[in-house]
Amino acid sequence: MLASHPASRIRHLISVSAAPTSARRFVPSLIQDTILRCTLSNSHAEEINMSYLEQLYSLDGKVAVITGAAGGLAAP
Amino acid sequence: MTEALLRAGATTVLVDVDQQPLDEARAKYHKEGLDAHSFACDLTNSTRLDALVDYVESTHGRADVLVNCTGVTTQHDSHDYPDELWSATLSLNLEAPFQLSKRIARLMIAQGGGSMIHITSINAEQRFAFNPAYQASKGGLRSLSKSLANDLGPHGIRSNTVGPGYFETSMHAGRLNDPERVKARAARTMLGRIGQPAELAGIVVLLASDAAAYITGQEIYVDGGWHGGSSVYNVSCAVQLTYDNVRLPCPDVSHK
Repeated sequence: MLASHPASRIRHLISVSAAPTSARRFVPSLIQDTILRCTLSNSHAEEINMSYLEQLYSLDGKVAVITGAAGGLAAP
Repeated sequence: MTEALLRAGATTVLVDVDQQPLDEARAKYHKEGLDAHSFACDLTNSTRLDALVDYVESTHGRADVLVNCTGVTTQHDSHDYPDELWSATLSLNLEAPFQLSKRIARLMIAQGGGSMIHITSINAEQRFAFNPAYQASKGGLRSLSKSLANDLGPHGIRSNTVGPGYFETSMHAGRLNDPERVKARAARTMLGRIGQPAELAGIVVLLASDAAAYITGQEIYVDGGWHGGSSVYNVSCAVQLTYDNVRLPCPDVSHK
């Protein structure tokens, strides 16, 4: 049945989560077996998550202005 | 906070009143390959504020993050608090952040958004002895931030406050020399200690970054639990008083 289902044409679907149940939650039930056969090492998963977080919290390209930045009061 | 912004990747303009400490700080960061710039500015001088914003626009072309981190505190009896101290405190702690925010907002509006972070204090919420000017200024800054969040939100500009508790900073240097006082203040926190400056880094980077894209108009206290504990106490008292006033039995709210 899996072989005849359109979903089986998906070659790579990576669902990453610390909790396996969360990773599977949004995967259609018909292709779950296929997905679960996809090997994803822990280190690979961490790399993907770190990349996402680093991007989310990154201030690259931003210009910041901060007053009182040298320990002074910024006024006499 | 400055170092946190730099290490998170921001091109950062350090602002302070004296050139020498700015030069020293900038040189230190440059040695580490961080993109630090500086501008000496008396923030109570509107001409210098204009010059600061002109410098930011002409040199860097934009301003994505503004951290209003200046502050002065002077304790004195309220009944004869010197007028000059009142004026100086309000001028630096409240007037200057507004004037700078107003000017930086124009850049942020033109570029489609930005993040303003105003450093207040637990004084913005709670009573402290003999410090009417500081308390009024920080409470005012807290309200100002909400006003800015409301008015500038449609332009994609967020405005939040960070309220530190007691930290090992130059502002508290005098008080930190008294071990008993430090011990008493640490005991007021849930964590049982005063804070280290590095512990303000995380919240500043969060609010400055896209991770906080839907956070605005908020007050976040970084105080080891000082403020949170008192808030719970005050809510409980308010419930009790309300019910007492109308002669109704007070419900058991201990489980809430």
